[in-house]
Amino acid sequence: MAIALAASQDHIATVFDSADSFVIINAGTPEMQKIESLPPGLSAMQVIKILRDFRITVLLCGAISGFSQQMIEGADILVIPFLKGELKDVAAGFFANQLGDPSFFLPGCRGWWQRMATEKGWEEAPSCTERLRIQRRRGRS
Amino acid sequence: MHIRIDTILDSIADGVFTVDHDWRITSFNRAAEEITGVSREEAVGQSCREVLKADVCDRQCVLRYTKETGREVINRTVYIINAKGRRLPVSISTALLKDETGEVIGAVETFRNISREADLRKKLEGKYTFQDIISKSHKMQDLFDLLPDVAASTSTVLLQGESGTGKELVARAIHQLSTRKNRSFVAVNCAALPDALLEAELFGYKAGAFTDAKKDKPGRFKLADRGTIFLDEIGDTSPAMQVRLLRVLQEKTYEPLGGVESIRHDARIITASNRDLQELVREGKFREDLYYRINVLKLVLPPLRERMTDIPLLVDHFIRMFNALQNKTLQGVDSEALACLMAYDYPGNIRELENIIERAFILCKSEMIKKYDLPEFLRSEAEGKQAATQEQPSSLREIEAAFLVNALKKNQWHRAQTARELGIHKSTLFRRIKSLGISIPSKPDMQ
Repeated sequence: MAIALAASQDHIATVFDSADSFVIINAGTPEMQKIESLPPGLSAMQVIKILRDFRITVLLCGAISGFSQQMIEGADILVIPFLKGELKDVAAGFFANQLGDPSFFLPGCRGWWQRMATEKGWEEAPSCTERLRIQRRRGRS
Repeated sequence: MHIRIDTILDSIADGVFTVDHDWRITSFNRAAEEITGVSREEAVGQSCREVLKADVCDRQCVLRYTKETGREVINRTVYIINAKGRRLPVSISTALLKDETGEVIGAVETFRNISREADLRKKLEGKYTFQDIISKSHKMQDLFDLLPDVAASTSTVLLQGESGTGKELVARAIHQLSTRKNRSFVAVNCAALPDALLEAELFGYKAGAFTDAKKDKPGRFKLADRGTIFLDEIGDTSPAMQVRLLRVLQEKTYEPLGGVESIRHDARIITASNRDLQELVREGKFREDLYYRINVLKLVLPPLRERMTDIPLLVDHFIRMFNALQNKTLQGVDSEALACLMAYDYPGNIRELENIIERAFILCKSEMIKKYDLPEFLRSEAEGKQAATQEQPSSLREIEAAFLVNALKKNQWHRAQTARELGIHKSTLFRRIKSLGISIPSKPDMQ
């Protein structure tokens, strides 16, 4: 399993569509391993192709449109949107199951995230183990 | 004085916020709250890019430009993502913020939601992109994957799908994704005209070709030069017209009525039919050679009943569209009405759903469309299905659970088969079954 962070320089890109790179972390070696630069103006489908090529199963990103999120989730990539902060902090928060901390959410977006979590059947705020379990189950099916 | 300024700002229809030298928001008016979905309490003190969430914030901050150059920016269109995940076009203007001594103390940005204008313009101009095709079903996602490659090629495309499944929308999306997007997209319904008229319409005519032909008239192929021509309902053309179309496809030339010279065309041809053309070929009603000519790239559009998970998205889309067209502010459909909409099979597909929502807009007297704003046949069908389950869902989760149980029962509790029918990935179905607490009966109980 690998996760990708949609980045703008050293922080999560405020808007997913304007990310300048993906920082990719492979599970088991939680270090930022690969930076894939993104030329501006890529379509959602081109972005999905890049994520698929790197076998990404979880995407951590900032504000994302419902359309892009549906497209990416349609490719069986779990999207955790509306995050903010420096890349290393967000990655550490993900692996420590602490993304529920309000400091990781863009202003005004925590309520949206909670509704989504309820809809998707996640019990609480983002939980790394829950998502890992989902991804493992996906991997087997 | 502060109270007065706030009151004045709150009475303005445009969003207004101010920032200090560290890009922290110092004031945020009511319209800004409405457009961004972020409350004043949450916004003040935060970084402006995190609150506005515009596509230009990280790379080409407009406020930064104004602060660094002292120049105002007026009515620049950018896109923001609001707190509900909606991408909205806004028109922004910026200026320096100065105190009474003239010293710069920050900057001010005003912004106006122009999504209504953008939606109306799109509707009028018909410039739909594949982003306008609303779906999260796997069947449609597979189709989306193919669209860029289809658009990049010059081959003829055949779109097959029931009436109302969005064939023209997909054709327009292919055109918009292609290098021909700045040229014309010309749509012709081949079933709407008798042969002689269709020929004149497609290929044009010369002056004197018939009694009333006083001057030359260009045909649709001419109008679509270096663009795209969309031949809808090609399965309904006569054998004689099929021969003419075959020649146009094979030789890339046509002759206007009354003309003696062949004209070469450079139009990308996209065809569509709601009938099974292969079956028509077998029945001898459609030319086999023409079928193979147009069937270079075939895309099959699933009917709405095979992508029921898209109904809430489509309903939301139509509500926004009719809000813009009819200048209303309906918020959505209530859970009972949504249950009715989810229980119907939609033989007329998306067009039928659109008509149902349009009708509800006329009848609806509140902010939410209710069950009784929907047509009688739809209510009675839903009531019939609910009576069978003896349960009245009261929340979106219950509606989804009831919907999944019905689908599973229909497929003898076979999950992979159910997932296929619903157009979702089987792992998604497994996850929903677990999260909604649906229990699958053991094999002897299944029926």
